[in-house]
Amino acid sequence: MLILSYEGWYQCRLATDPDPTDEPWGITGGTFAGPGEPPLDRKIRLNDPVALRFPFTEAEFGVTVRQVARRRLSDNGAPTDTPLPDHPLVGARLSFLEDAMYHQRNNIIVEGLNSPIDPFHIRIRTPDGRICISRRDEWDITRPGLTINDVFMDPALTAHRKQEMEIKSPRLVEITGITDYTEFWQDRRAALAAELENHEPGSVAHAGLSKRIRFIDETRNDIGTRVTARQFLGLLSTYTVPINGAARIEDPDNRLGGRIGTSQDWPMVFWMGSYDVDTLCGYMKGTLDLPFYVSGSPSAPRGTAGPG
Amino acid sequence: MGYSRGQLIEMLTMAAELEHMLCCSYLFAAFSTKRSGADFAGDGDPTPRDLEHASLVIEWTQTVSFVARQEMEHLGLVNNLLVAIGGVPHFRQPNFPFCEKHFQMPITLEPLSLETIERFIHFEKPEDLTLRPLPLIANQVGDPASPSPLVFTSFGMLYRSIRWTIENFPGGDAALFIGPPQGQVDGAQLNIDFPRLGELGGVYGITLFPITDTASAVRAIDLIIEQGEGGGLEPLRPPGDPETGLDAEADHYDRFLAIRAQMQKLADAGDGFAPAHNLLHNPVLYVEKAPPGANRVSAEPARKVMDLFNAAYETTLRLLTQLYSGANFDAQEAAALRYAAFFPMMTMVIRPLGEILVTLPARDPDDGTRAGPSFETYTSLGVVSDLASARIVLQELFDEMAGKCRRLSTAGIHPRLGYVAESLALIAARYRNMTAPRGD
Repeated sequence: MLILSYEGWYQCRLATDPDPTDEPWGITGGTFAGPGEPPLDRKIRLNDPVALRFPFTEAEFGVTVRQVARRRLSDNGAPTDTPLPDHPLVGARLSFLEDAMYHQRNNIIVEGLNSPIDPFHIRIRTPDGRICISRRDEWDITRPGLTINDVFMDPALTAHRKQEMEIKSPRLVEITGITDYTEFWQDRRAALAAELENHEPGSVAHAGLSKRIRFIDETRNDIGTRVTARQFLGLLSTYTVPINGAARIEDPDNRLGGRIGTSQDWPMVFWMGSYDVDTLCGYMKGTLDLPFYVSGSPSAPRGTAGPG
Repeated sequence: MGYSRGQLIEMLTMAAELEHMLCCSYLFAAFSTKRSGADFAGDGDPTPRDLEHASLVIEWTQTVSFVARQEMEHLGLVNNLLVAIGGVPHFRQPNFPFCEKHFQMPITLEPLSLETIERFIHFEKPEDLTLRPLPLIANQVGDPASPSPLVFTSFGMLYRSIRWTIENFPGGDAALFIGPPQGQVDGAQLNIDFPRLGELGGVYGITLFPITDTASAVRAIDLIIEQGEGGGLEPLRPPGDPETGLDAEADHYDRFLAIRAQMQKLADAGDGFAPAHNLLHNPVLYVEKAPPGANRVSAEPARKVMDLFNAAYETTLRLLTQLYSGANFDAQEAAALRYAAFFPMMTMVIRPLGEILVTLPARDPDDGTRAGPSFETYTSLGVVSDLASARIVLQELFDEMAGKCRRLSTAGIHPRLGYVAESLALIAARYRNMTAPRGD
């Protein structure tokens, strides 16, 4: 078994309630498309962001594989993970394919803070593109292609993708260091104001930064609509998805040194959190378990590979 | 005693009607605005100035929408009060324009402009703070057994009279608050309560709570007055912004004054700045039944969307009327009504349809004017006393709207209709699921 550990900043340019979920500009909710930016589109971008906002830079953005480990089970069943620092998947980029989005529709599909991700089709690709692994998760493996709209009232099917929420999560503090939301917004405002000095009045960048500053000023007391949006900074949502559908593995040079099994689920457990309504970015961290058979192993299925 | 209760019910009914009309008037103005740089640029590419205008107008739209939401809160609190004292919930309103002279100014459906903001400022203007009963109408019967017509010239006057009547009600709380508690809606049921400074506003700027005695009734009235015109609850307000002079919980009046100042500045620049689309004022489907001053929308695509909008609006009013009726629902039944009435219908159906309408030609042939939501109703909106019948009636309405919207979405009228159609179909399915008979 290979255990892929990944993390990084992702982007989701989504409208938040009470805006309708298809609101393109952001009027009454906690987010907006700034001057010169394209309309909000709700897509979850783990890499290749659109109109990335200051202070983020492309270099520090993106969810990538940070560690690959080989897991072996001892005689008593206890797992032992051995890191593989030179594994070709270290540094690979994760993506959700098929324009994955959070689905909620302002309480039509689910109530409260839960937001199922659909479709769920994950891809891991090395920067040079020579290894590309993707697999789609199906709500019902016997009926591929069902969407959240088809299954949202069937608890037996929606249970397939578990989601748990944590408010004011300490795990997020480890990543972001944010313990005081008011201080965070004061610091962000100061950073935006300093950046504003680098742009000519009348320019699009100036208009965009000015709007973000006004937005922070207007919401500084955490009132009304904005209060929940600001709490996103401490909100963590854990997803557990046993990916079960059609898989595609491209490794023409056999750099993986074996075969990834596709007859079993690929358990994927990750959290998304610390969503920042000002930059429209949040953090993602988790693991993906891949059944793996080393080339030439005597115990490999079909005589070609053994469990890794 | 009958006179006092009857008069109080009439005052609250009028308050509900006026809050409702103001809410629609504000919503119409919010729907009417231009949103993108392209809306301001015309045929060319948007300039940074166009983008800045769009950004500013979006902020005004947000403010007007916020005020409209608080008018909905007022409507909810007034209905809680009505139910608490033995009245019936009131979610009806006259069709627009409303020209009775309570405010020396009609309540209309017009796009956002300097003139519209002036009218909004007039509606929210602070008034004399004295608590007193409404003045009597001329030729009033001495010691009347029935409520007489109401005489008032401002919201402040009406609400202060309501408060005076409650505080001076013969027999006190035990005599006045007789209604069924299950007929009221509060923030906990809607999951919008949030602990925060003072007591002003929950999540979304809305605070709803049950009315059970004079103290809670007075709290509701003071909240309504405070949010509208300010004053009264000053110590609870957070510190203000030194640059704009607006505090974080500025009242409606101050918020509208701030918009007027910004809009006037742009108007004075003299480059033809217009924050809203060129909408037909007081648009209606059925001009034959409309008050004077209404304008018929003649273009068929817009008429079809208006018809759907009115169906969604009326269905929402039916849901609210039923929810506030005090009927002996079980928890699941009440949850189904609340589920559909608030977020799903208001934010995912009514608002998008309103925003779609302001982009559709109003007339055939197209003369450049655009349509808008008319908020027309032609039914009584009475409570359906048999719960099984009510479920069937509401389910029929959901299914019919979902089907109509699906058909409209394939007619090429507007790309956003497809998403609304999906939402309606999902609401219909979930309502069916929530109200389905359950085995023990």
